[in-house]
Amino acid sequence: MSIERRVEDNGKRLVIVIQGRFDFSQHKAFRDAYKEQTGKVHEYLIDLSGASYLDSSALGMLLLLRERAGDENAKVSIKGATSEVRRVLDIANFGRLFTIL
Amino acid sequence: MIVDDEATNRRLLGAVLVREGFHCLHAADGEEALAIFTQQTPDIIFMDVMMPGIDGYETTRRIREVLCGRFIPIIFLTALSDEQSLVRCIEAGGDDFISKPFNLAILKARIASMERVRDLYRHLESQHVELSQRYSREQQEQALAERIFSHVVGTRNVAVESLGFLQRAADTFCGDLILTAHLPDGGLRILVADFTGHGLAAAIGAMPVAEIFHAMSAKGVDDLLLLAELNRKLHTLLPADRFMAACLVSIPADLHELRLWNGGMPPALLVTAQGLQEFHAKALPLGILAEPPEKDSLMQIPLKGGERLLLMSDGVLEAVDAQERLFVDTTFDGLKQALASKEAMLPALIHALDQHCGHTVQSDDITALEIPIGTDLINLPEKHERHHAPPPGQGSWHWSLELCDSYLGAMSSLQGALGSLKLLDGLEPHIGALEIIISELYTNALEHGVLGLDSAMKSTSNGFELYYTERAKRLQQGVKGCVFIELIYEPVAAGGCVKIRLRDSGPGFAVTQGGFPAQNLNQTPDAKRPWGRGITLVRSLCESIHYNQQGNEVEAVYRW
Repeated sequence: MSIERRVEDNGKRLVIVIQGRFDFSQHKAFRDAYKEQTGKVHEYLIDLSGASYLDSSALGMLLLLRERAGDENAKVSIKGATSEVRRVLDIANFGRLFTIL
Repeated sequence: MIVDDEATNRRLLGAVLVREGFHCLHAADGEEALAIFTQQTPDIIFMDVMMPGIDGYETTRRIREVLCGRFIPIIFLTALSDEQSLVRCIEAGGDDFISKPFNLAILKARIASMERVRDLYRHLESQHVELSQRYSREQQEQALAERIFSHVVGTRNVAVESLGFLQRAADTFCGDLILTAHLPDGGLRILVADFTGHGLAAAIGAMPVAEIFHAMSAKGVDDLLLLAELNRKLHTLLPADRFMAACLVSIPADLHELRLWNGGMPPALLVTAQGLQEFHAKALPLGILAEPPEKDSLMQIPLKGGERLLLMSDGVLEAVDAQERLFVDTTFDGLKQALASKEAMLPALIHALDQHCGHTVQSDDITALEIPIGTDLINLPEKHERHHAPPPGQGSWHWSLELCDSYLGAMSSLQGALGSLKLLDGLEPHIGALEIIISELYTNALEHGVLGLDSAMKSTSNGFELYYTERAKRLQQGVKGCVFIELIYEPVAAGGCVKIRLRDSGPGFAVTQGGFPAQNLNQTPDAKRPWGRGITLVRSLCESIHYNQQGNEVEAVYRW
């Protein structure tokens, strides 16, 4: 269970990589991953390829990030969702709020 | 407190401690030590091992029993230096030991160290007390909130004896919600919802949802307007990361269709004579976006009778077994088809779920609701009710409305149209019946008159689907035409009378064309035929109903 961040494309893209269960216990780590970001980010990319599980509080965390990104006119993309994680995103219809790659 | 049978030792140690600022109590043996201990609680105890009567080990053990978990450091003073004796000191409940004769510097260091440990203990102890007070306060508040919650949510539900429920809360408070209410025409509306997170936060959102649901359903407000209001309320009320997934189901009194809206819930399962249909979420959960749910997210599913609908929260699909495997992955897909062949789905679902979960701890709320669609759900308004009728001879009214072209699909409820004009005051017992009459006649005027759809299409199962697909298509393409509605209320000596007239711009019906509606009116309808139930219902509620020769104008008379 971990959250890592890295900056790509000269600071225009912030990639947040989530490993293991993405649930409420990751709340602080996930927020910290984007909170301290300074400078203009054009895209937040959430890499879920290592995420085994995602619950409704994780959906809530994604919405918080979306709110922040909206203030900055940045987009939020999600990539690498496994079928189990993808099912949760689909049931919630999150494809309408995020670019799911 | 210094416990030592040698007076010299006590004096010597006492002198040192007094110089360090301690006040000393002296005990010459174990019994005296216990007696002093019960009267004055010392901060630290120095204990000799070898004493007449009860020895230092036993005295320590008894003191520890009295302390019952509270911490007072006990330091053994011992001339013994073999490992065995030192181990016994600790086992008896001692915290440290100092060899006799003692070195002054070591003695001071040990005392300072013990005081540190003691302070740490006291700190922990006070935190523990505070924590348990907070915990019990929270428990009380949860219990109180749950009482209010279940009152607001549970007590107003209707038709509960006809529905199948499964509700298991993961927390004291359930984040899942089931609400049911009758619509003014006697039909049933159901909301199954799942808040993000459990407990208090979820329940806070549930209260306004229940209020809005009941108030707007009683007024007959349509599904999309209700959803828009719920969405608006939750969007304003909840923080960005909280929302409510929901399924809203409305079944009108004539059971001719099912209106289903799914926002972020697992697929709703509908079992029909043809088999199993799944209705996936077409919309986002409520409370996320400022905009109301889109019009096309509401599904209209024609009914033929005998269908059963199963709604679930994701807690069902994600229930884990002992190996952390999800119910949806191990069991559910295989189970679905089996459910479709059962008389009732819920008992089989519960059985499979119990088999799957075993004794695992439930981590999310589990909710499932089975709705056997039939007249049991419906609360038809009484045809003739005399009380509450307005006093005779107190005026009359005449109201009319013409809907044309793109407004044709948007006939509001009677309550919505006339309620705010106060024209329905005093007519409350009759509103339900009037709603049915008007909505059925309007449906006929629109579908057969303006859109030119033939009811006979509905006689095959394929045609049934086709009929409604065609209806939606024609409306969407932009229909040309008008429906004129006129209502005339006249009080009579012992009651009242409402005349309902509708006229559509369609060509009318020849008696031979599909046999509807003119011929149908004079026949007993065939119970097995999947159409024609609407007009039968109207006839059963009205004193009379007459179509004109051309078949594009109708007058129904409702009297009480």
